[in-house]
Amino acid sequence: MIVAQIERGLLTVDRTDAPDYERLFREESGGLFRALFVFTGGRRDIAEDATAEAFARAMTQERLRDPVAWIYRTAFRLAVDAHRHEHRFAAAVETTVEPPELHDLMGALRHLSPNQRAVVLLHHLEGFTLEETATRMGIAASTARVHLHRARTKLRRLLGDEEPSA
Amino acid sequence: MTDRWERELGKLRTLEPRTDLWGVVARGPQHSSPPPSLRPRQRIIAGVVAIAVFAAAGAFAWKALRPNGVRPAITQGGTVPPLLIQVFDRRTAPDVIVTTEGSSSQGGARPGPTGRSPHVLDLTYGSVVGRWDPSTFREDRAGPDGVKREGLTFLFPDTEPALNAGARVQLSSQGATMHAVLIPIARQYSSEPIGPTIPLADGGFLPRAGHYLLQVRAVKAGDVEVWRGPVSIIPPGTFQLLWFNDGTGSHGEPVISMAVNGVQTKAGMLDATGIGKNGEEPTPYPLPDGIPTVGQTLAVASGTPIVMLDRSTRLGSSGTGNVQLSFGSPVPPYGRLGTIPLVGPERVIPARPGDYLFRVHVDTTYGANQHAFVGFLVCRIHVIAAPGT
Repeated sequence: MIVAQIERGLLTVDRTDAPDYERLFREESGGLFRALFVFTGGRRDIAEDATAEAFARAMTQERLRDPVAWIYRTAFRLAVDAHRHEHRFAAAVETTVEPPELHDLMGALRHLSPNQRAVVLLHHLEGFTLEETATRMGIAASTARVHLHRARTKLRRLLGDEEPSA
Repeated sequence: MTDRWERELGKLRTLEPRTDLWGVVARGPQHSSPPPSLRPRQRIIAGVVAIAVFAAAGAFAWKALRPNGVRPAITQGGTVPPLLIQVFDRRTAPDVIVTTEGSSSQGGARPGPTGRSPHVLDLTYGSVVGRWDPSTFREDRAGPDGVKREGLTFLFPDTEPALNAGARVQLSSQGATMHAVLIPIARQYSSEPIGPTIPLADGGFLPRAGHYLLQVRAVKAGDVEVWRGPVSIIPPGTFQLLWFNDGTGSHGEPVISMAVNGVQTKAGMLDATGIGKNGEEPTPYPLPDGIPTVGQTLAVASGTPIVMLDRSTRLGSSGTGNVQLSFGSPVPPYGRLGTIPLVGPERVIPARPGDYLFRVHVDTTYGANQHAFVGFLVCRIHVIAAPGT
């Protein structure tokens, strides 16, 4: 997987050179943004802000062992902070404008908790393993597994019998 | 992945952030950056402050717990304590769930933290109606520790079988009645109900000691409200640790260990995110091996020290974990007695007779010095007076 290769490459230069954050941004920001978009229930503004802020903060760090995982965790926490401090999630259902083709999917995903949504996306769309997903979200792998189980159960009910395979 | 799901999720691949986002990144952090790490002098000051806070908390706790202080809540061989129903909003606990569905036509009678009347509340348990003593009701909607609690005390008749799955329960409040059915759910941090039914002085019985989850689901004008909390039935003459978890954290699995009379017990907290939201039902959690010792019953005498052995946290996120222990009474009015930061050497807590509520607060540090709330454990400790004391 490309992500894993990038991470390994960064690890090899961790102690000597700063990561190429611009390249990292090109390769990772899309996936992170999508994860946050789903996590926040379709809040593009929060997803973009958190993505940018996480990368910006990463660039101020002297040394990061795993920059990608750090950026993901930071971005998720920033999104959570936006929720806690601004109560913006509550208004998301009413205010979010999303592409029409995503209406049904986002409607179903909003029945899941934010963590459930994010796990589904990172695991099934971005292709991360459960362990990688958990690392990026800053949760335990067992927790991610529970989120995935619940999400599948609920999505099966909401969208029919078909569900993502394990 | 099936075609249907591949199509649906694949639509998300078209989503991209705005094209000028790298420019935003290049301008640096826009929000307040995390403060730099404390310098040595600041660390010393922080340490002094922490010691002062700890000393004040200890003095406060000693004042509250000293021998001529509070009267022991429970005495061995004495009056059997009333059954205590503890209701902690959005806690999860095991064994039995009570789901009540009904409709209330009277304002203020809808079951829930905001609408349930504390003054008129009967619980029909089996064939007997239990009358709740309103004087026992206390509510701390936004306490100093930010925890919302409600508590009420019931004396249950000998209707132990009514706790079995399928049993019907009825809640009445201001003329509105809600019917309930007991539904067994996955066991989490609990053992099976233990011991026999507990006889009461008036000829009644308490159900077997154990932990149960009370869930009330009310429907009013299409609005579904779920209200749930653990029901703890404590056998007299024992010491018991009851662990609950709260569904606010998802970033770690704190584990703490305690020793009472040299017997070590452990408990862990797993993520419970999603519990209580949208009426979700609790689902089984993968418990780490060797952890589930919750519900363990130990005999302990008055004055026995309880030693916190380990406050380790296994955080899935970066940074370090901080654990803070609060202790107070779980019996209404749920007064919190003090707080001990669990850092540094082991802390010994004098366990005098009475009921204590241990609340272990865990947060994590990430980035330079930012804190994120992880969650907390609530541990109830019930200490009796030793014979002859």
